[in-house]
Amino acid sequence: MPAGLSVRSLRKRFGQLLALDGVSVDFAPGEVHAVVGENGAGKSTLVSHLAGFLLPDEGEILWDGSPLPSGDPLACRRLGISMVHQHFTLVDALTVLENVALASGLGGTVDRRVFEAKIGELLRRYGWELDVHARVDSLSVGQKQKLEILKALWRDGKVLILDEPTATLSDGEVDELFRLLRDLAARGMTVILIAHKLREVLAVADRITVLRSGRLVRTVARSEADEQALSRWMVGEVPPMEVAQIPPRAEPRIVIRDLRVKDDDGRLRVQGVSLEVRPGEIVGITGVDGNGQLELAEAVVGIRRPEAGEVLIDGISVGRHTEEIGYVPQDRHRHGLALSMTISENVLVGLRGRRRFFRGPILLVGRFHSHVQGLVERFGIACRGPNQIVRDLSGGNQQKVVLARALEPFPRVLVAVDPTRGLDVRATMAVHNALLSAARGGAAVLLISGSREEVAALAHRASRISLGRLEPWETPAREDLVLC
Amino acid sequence: MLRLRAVAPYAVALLASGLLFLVFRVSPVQASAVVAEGAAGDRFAVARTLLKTTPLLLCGLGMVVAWRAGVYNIGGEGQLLAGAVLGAIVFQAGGAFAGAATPWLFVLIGGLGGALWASIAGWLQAYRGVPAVISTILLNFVILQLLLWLVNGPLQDPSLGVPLSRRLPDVAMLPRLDRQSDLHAGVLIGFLAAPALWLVLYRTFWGLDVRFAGANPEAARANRRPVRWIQLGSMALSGFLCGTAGGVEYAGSLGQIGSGLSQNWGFLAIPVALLGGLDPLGVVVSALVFGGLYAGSDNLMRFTPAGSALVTAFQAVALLAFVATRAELRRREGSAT
Repeated sequence: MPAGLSVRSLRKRFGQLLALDGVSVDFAPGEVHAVVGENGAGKSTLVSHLAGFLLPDEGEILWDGSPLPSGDPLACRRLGISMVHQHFTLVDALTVLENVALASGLGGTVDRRVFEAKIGELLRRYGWELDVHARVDSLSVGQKQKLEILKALWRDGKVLILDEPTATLSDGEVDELFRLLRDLAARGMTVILIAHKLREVLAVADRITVLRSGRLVRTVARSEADEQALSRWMVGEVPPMEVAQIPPRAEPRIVIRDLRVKDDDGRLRVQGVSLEVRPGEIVGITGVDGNGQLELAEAVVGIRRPEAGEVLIDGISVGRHTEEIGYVPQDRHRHGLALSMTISENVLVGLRGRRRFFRGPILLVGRFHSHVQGLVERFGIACRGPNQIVRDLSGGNQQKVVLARALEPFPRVLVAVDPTRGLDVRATMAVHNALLSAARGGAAVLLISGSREEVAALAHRASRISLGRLEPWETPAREDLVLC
Repeated sequence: MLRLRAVAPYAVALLASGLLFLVFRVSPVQASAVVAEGAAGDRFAVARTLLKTTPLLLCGLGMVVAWRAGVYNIGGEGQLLAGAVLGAIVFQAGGAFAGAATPWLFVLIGGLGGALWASIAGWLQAYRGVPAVISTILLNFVILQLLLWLVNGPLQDPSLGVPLSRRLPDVAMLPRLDRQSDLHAGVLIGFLAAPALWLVLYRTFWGLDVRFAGANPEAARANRRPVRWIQLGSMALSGFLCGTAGGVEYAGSLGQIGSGLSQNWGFLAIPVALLGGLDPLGVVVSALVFGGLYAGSDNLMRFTPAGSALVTAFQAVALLAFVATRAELRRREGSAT
């Protein structure tokens, strides 16, 4: 029997869906093992079994040769198997120290100084910088992730599982996380991570397991894989990327003049941005998260009043145009969708020119239903129908709902922020093609994205945002780019 | 599954209250029969049930529209009182009017009074960030004291030695639907308002605005929806419905206001709305159940040692059962990915 975690002929069914179909993988101590696959391939289901969150229907999971206490996450944690979820499980109002204490499972009274000393020692051992007295809501995303890992390591961790740890990190933070994961593996831990970006997978993993539709495609060493091979194993054929065409010269549709915008706490986050976007043009802005992107986007779509400066759409202040702007917000759960409501309702709430679906004040249900049915088909939203609750859709399909609403009917202006965050290869392609076709149709597109590759590949012009100001940005050559 | 979800909490509540009856050494079967007799045994019982259902239904609908918008109005009682009080003030100032429309005018005035009172809380939440939960509680106290001052002062009928306002003449009262019982035309309003509110919530854009802003206000804002305006509007409509209940009580059953005007219908409307699943049509059912229980509990007090305390216990048990059952059903449907 091999040491570490082994999965043998694992099978799991959720209702009609066969989520895992006879998967066998070994996870060895001292390796970084990446699990890749499209949305719905079974990645999360597989690792949830490893951490004890799910009971297999068939097959077995072995830990150092004996059966894992399946379905008992606490017992798995005691064995040293911990999982860091994609959405953080931290208490914002508590400090780093208190969050670790909360997760440590210590009962009774805890001597704060002893505890603090122990955390300090742990941080020193790994060489991390983290203020244990800082409140969690003051931490950056990268720091929060470190804290999550710290919680997992607290109990002498042997296996660390991370579900899409890089989805919300900037490029710099990703590099740091990967150094950290390599270090943990070098110390003998098993690190298992789910990731979407193949470039990242190849940068960090020793071995890679590829899943497709619940089946194991293969497990390979890094040296045996490259991006083309991985994406072929994941999706079969990948259609080629369309290339953006240079738009004809025209009067600028969006004019931003010396814009200054504050955030909710009154801090000036956009500090003098000027920009023009012509019809048919995609103008990109890239940069590390938290440099004023959100505030800039909200001012341009007219939902945040600027402190100074102005945003003009076809020469008229944006306040009068808000309904004509398609908006793809950065965080589809927070700003895009009401998850408890249906696809139809989420489309209708932001639909431009919705009057044709009403007689007087009353919604023409049949006419609107068939309109949404058409959107579902055109945007390829995998669902049971327009009345399905959005929460039950996969991330990629949720994003397609946001896109369908922003792009249909055709907007004169489209503002998209990180439109492919957390999406798999195929969904990313669909989003990119939608942005390109919006531009071809004559929309002025402002693309704000933390992904340099995305901006470089799609935008006709681009700049970088840093501390609320735009800086010139040298677009990398297209041949050097890998998109997914 | 949907059927089970709607019925299960009532079934559990019935079982639990059966146990309660046993504790008080009352046969659950006999107690149920007594309650049923008092709620629906004859035309008087039915009339009593409908009269008690009406304020519960109207205030329950009021709760639905505010809560759906994410504005947790618990001031239905205050808004009901405001409706009746405004009616009494108008009557005192302007006297009785002639014409068949007069009582309906008092119902409308009641609605406006409630809407005005609720709008204070709506404005405070939407534009000043004061949670409606807090402001509506405090406004309940304010209107109650205002009522007591009015009926002990400016509105008191000088010919009476007790704190009661002048009585509405019969022509200004809502017409009777039945020669023998007290059933009046006001009971129709609630049953018409429920489908109307359903239509507004599920078939108009404003209704979508309300539900969307309640489900995710951040997303509503990002979709360029006027969230504050929606919150204020939903609160005004909520108050209008509760105030209408006050107007119906005033121009339908009471004819005058006094220190005993507050019967807690506005508070009871909260469990009614929750048991109805915050759905206008569900609220019709739960308001009828509660109205019937109130009517029936008069009998219970007469024939058993448990008294109407049992009804209070029943509400609490039903609400707990509802929340617990729904949570359990949701957990079982659970998200597995």
